[in-house]
Amino acid sequence: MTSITRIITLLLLCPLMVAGIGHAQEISAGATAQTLRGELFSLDDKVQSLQKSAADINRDLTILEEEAQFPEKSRISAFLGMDHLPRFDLHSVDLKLDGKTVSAHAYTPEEKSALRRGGMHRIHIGKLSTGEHRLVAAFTGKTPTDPQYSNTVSFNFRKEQKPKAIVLNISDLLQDDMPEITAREIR
Amino acid sequence: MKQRGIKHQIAQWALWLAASLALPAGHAADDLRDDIAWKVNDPRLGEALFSFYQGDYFSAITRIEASQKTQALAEQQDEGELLLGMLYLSYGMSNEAQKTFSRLSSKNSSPAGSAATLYLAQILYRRDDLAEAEKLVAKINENLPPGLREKRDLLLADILIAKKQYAEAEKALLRLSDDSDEGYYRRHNLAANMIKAGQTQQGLALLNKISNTSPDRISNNLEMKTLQDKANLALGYSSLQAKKPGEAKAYFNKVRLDGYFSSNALLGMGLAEAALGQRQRAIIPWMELQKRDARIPEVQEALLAVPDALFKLESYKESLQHYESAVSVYKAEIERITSSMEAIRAGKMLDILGKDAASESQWQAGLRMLKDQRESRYLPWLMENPLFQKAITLYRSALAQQDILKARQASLGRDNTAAFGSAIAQQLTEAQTVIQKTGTYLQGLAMSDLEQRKQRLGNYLAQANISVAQLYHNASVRGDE
Repeated sequence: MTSITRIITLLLLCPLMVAGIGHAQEISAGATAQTLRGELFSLDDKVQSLQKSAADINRDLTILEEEAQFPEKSRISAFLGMDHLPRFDLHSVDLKLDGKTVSAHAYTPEEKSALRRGGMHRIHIGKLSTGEHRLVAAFTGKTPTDPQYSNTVSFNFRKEQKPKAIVLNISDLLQDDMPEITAREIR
Repeated sequence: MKQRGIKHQIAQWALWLAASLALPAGHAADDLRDDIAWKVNDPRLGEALFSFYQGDYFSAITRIEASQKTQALAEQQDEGELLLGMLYLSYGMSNEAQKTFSRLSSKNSSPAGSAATLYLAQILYRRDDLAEAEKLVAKINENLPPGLREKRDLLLADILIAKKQYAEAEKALLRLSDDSDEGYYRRHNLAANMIKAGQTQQGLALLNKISNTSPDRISNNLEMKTLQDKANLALGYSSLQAKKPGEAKAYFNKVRLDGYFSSNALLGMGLAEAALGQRQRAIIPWMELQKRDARIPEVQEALLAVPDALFKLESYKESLQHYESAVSVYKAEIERITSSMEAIRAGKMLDILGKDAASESQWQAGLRMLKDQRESRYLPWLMENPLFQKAITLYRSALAQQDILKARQASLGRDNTAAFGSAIAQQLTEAQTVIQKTGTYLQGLAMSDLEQRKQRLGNYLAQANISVAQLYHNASVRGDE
């Protein structure tokens, strides 16, 4: 094959792989390529089957472990969510339950990005007795006007004999570039 | 060529990475994380999204599946199902994704259902089920989340291209924003397919549009620059084939000298000069090419092209020197390939490919730091093969599952989790088999590619040796010293 023909084959007759491996025959013509492709599909199926088994096992064990460590009746979870606040830079959240620190977390850039896009961080999972309780969350961060922003929110709630989840949310309710922190119960 | 001085020190790894960026969705799962602006009410959905956005797909799958199994995700079931399908797809589990999206697709009247229909159509398209994929795309209504509308139009164009309905595909592409990178890729693909189907003029016209894209549009966009280089190169070689070397030169001149395709452009520039009868000028780009990495096929060709041109210019002594130099380069390169093949056969390449199986970013960072070792010398070229790329993904995925299962095995207690011991052991055996088979497949591809390289070099070496013998013979006939 001459240089010109070889390179034209490479450049023109091989479309970019937008279609994925399904159209790989564009790249590797011939029976050998078909055999290789067939082998690869078979391996793909085997790996996917392995992934499914590992995911199933992990799911079932996670459920069992959580149930063993935090039985539903006494389970308490706390989540942190954040609206898209481009001018608020969250640094950390410390969580106290009935005066005792149960979680202290400093956020990485990746975690902050995940929060801004709708992700919620489970900042605590634990056990709690039935009755009245008080949760206090202390936030630190940076706003356009306050490089050492800090705020604390308190939330009183009653724990019944069923799981409880509390969601803390950072939003800009007043649209004044200052984060507002709210808390709500789920279930 | 743009006269900015040729950079000899090509960081081949960096270039490979740059070029691989220019091949969307070919070798890795799509990044779906920007597709949908989620409105989250249920924290269990939010928790899975928190992992999803950080690229921790396996944890996110576990969270959603556990919430579904315990009926905890009550408030946003459809969104949870959609996210689960997207997670499966991101994690390489397209079979599970297909099942999940099929279930949700029947609820096409909701945004989650419409999105599921689109993803399902994408999966079917990739499995060559074009008719079913097209039907599904036609079913998608205006409920589709805004972030997915361009993907729907792109998929329709892909399907039409695959069905060889090029005029319809062109119309579909016209509906896309001019600024869309993905649109440019499709135009390139359409052009390539048109040329393949004999619609050369239409294909070349499309490539010319890419070639003439305003520099403002692609400044600082490495992927677009690489695509534009590829279009210019294709136009250049097409012009050469059409015996229009003057036009070819103009296209080769547009290819960046520090880009992935610069060696092809240098070779082409020399060929264009030679076709114009300018042998002296042809030697200039080929000499530059000769100084580059001997693993590059175009460099290997230039090693013969230079002395051949010198011979035709009757510079016999110089021609002989260059042929002799080529002989030693080819011999050394053949030895290096043989040595690399030994290392690959001994499993050393697999050690590199399987490193940091749980962290793609860590592994890629490690690749960039790789030294020129026997087992890794030809990896950048091997990775140009989409089959090799896919096999790497599978190999690493199987290793990652093995790690997960081992960690789970180690965490089992004497409580009710102990019952999972035999299931984990069985899956670990299966993992070992899959890892071994995928590794063998990768080694086979590598060995076959290197064998071809060796044969090509062997042919070049034979040609160079014959030329050396002829030159000595001619010299003795002429009575030269």
